[in-house]
Amino acid sequence: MIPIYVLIGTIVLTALADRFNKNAKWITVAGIIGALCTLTIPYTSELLVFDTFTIFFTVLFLAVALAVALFGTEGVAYYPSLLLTTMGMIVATASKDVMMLFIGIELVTTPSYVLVAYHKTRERMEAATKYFVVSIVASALLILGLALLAITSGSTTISELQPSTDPVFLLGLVAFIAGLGFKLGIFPFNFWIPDVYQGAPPAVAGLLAGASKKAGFAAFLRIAAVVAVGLKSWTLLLAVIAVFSMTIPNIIAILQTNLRRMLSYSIMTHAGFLLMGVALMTPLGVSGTLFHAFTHAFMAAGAFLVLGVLQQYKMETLKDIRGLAKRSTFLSLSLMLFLLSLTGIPLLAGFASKFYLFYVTMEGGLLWLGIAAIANSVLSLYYYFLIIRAMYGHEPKGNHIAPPRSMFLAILLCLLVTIAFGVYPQPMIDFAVAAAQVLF
Amino acid sequence: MTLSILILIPILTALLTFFVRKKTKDIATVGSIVLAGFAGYSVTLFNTAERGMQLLEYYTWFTVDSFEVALSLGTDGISYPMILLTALLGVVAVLVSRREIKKDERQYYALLMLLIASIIGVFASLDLIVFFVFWEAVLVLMFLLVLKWGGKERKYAAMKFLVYTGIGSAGLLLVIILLAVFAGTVSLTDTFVLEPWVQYTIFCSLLFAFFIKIPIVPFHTWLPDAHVQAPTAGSILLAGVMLKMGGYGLLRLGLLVVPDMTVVFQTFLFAMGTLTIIYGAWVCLAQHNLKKLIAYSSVNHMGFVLLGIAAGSTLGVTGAVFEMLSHGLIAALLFALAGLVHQKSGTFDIDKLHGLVSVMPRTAWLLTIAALGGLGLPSMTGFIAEFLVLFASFQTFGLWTILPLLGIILTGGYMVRMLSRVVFGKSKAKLSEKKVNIIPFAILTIVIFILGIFPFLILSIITASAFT
Repeated sequence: MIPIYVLIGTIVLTALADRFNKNAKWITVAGIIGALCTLTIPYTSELLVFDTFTIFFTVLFLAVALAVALFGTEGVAYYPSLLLTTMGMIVATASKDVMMLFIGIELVTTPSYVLVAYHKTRERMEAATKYFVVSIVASALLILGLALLAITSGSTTISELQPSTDPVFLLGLVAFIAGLGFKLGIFPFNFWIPDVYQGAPPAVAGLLAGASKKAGFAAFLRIAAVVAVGLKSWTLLLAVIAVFSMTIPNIIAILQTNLRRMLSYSIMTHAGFLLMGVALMTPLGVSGTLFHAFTHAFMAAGAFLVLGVLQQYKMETLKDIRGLAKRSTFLSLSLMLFLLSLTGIPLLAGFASKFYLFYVTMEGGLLWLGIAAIANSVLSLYYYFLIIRAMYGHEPKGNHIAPPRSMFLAILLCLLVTIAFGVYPQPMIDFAVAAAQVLF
Repeated sequence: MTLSILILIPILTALLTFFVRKKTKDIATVGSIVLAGFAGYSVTLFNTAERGMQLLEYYTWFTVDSFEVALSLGTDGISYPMILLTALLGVVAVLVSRREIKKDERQYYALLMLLIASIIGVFASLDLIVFFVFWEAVLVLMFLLVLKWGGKERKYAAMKFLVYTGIGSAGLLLVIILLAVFAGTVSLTDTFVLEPWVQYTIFCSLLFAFFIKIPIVPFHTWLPDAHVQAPTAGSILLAGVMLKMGGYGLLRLGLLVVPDMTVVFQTFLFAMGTLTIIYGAWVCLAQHNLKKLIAYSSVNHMGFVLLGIAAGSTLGVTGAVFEMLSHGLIAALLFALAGLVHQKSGTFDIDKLHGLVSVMPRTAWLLTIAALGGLGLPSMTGFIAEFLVLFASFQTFGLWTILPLLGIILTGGYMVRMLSRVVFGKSKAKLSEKKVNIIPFAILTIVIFILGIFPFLILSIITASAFT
């Protein structure tokens, strides 16, 4: 709860910063670090709960937001919106009540419209409009679903929701999954993602993919932990959705030439991976999802941040980045490491979490789902390596590129997390297991 | 500490070559010689009387759910010869690169050294996750080496290599996860108790993973492309030790984890081995590209490894390991020579390379020796290896062994065809072999002869294996 107050304070300061000619970026960075420091102070509230689960996700949100803030951009409304959406993520994750959960999700989405359209260009306006329309529909479905769930249970408190086979309840559940499914980008509600992620400023896309989406998963898990227990078909339904979510975008990604679009499809594939643990809905399964959510946040955000630097040099497609290795060792090396981590090459965090997730899935009895996930991992190997091939296999055309120091720091932060938890995953596994157990 | 030092020496060398910006070649050379020297010294620590794993090391890495993942190292008669071979070929690879590689030397030698470290890691690790870590590292490093320092079609070849071996890795990953789920352990020092259907699944995905790597026909098509495009040192390590990772994996996992399955699938393995031997040799007869011919001859020879495994006896396993060692040496020599010829003449085309003996006599004679070694002339390692394998095959499969024997005849055919075109006759091209460093070729040739004449030197190590 304290971190939320710290963030609110920072929002006010950043909003005023422009007036007093102070640099909003460093206020934001200081605010986020302050929120991270005050994370473990215990606090009880009627509507929000700060248990290990919330702390786990809050660390993730704040760290990704820190990287995105460090990366930075010019302008007035950017940093307050960034902080506001981060605060929304924490609220959505920590909510004890369905209404609070909805408010949290809305708090995540609304400032994102501003962020997506930032430094308005035709492309960004289109992306923002699309995002807006989809989000409104999703929110409508979400609140319908939550309302139906609450009505049949007679309470808006999440822990008091009553799983039943009542048609109204089931309708509510379907509306809930569909509503949140839009926000999470799971099949068949994921068609909008590539357009938005490609159109948005890359750093914002990194925030959306790295953090916002994980907030959706956190909210999903909070509700699912209560309602999935009594439903037999839950596992099968979610497992099937997971397979479609990972396979279809994966195949489309191979055909892409625009890097941000390609990465967007990869993000959608990973949403499918993350659903595997949700389908299982066992403590072990959820810990797999949590661990992968954590590592994926940094790989995805990091990769988008690198693309953000490249965009400033008008490099958008596979062809543009040919010979990047010679033009910037740091950018090409870090992009390669993020991609290798997304593929699941060992000693990077992506391998540790993917292995763990696949293991818990098969351990939980969904052998076929695990095999489908492994097959998809191989499939994704191809297009990640297309990027690596373009960077390393060609002679450079153009000058040396040196990213500004703060961008360098932002990418480095993501890179360090990706490497650290690949080399020594134990603390994160323990943290994820502890966080998952809180739900049950 | 022995095995971890063997892994750390090349890693340290890689760091030095990358961060000390001067004398890159010399640092790499010294590093590889130190590695080979230490490997030679380690022979005195290896106890040939002991059955089972030795030189054990164990450092806990992390625990997942019920099983522990540890940096667990150890070696036995199957892996130890491979480790020695890797150390030796490391020196050769660095020496032949000195003249060939001209761009981005720092990165090149750093990657090469890391590749050597990873290959040793594959052979030395007893924990399957650590095994997989090194396995994937080899894949990525080789991809980068081919991509940056390869021939004209290097981008295509690198991608093809990556896709094929990446699919193979998926099979391996599946095996590891299945073992973690159903046996509750990923350590090769444990015993595995598995239900029959799990055993079938594991063995089939093992075959899938390692057939690509070995490679067994029809999963072999990545090999010629990768070989032709790879830099010489890459080819040497690719044929010399990386293909052995497949054979080694099949021996280690197949015989240790699901031993019953090798008996169930015996006929199938025999058939695939024979097919690979004959098809590999047959295709060699039609090659016009020297490097491609050597690549297909690798396919041909790796078939014998599978044949030895199929035989299922102690003799068969011994023969398979010896064949891997022998082929590692001979193929490395052939590729090194092909690289030298290409460096001097600018072509791999057999039809254009007429009469090498008149212009580059030393090279021509070495090539002749290597080719004769490849076709299994007594006094060289190839003979011992193929003799052991065929003998074991005869004990198990009886007269069916005539089929792989036919392969030997074909092998003789293509080697002699290659020699008659490339080596003999009179050349019109102006080639010279001045300024050629003969040392790497000499090392390999001497080792091939020594082990061919005194095979017990290495057989005494192999028979210390866990399965005798």
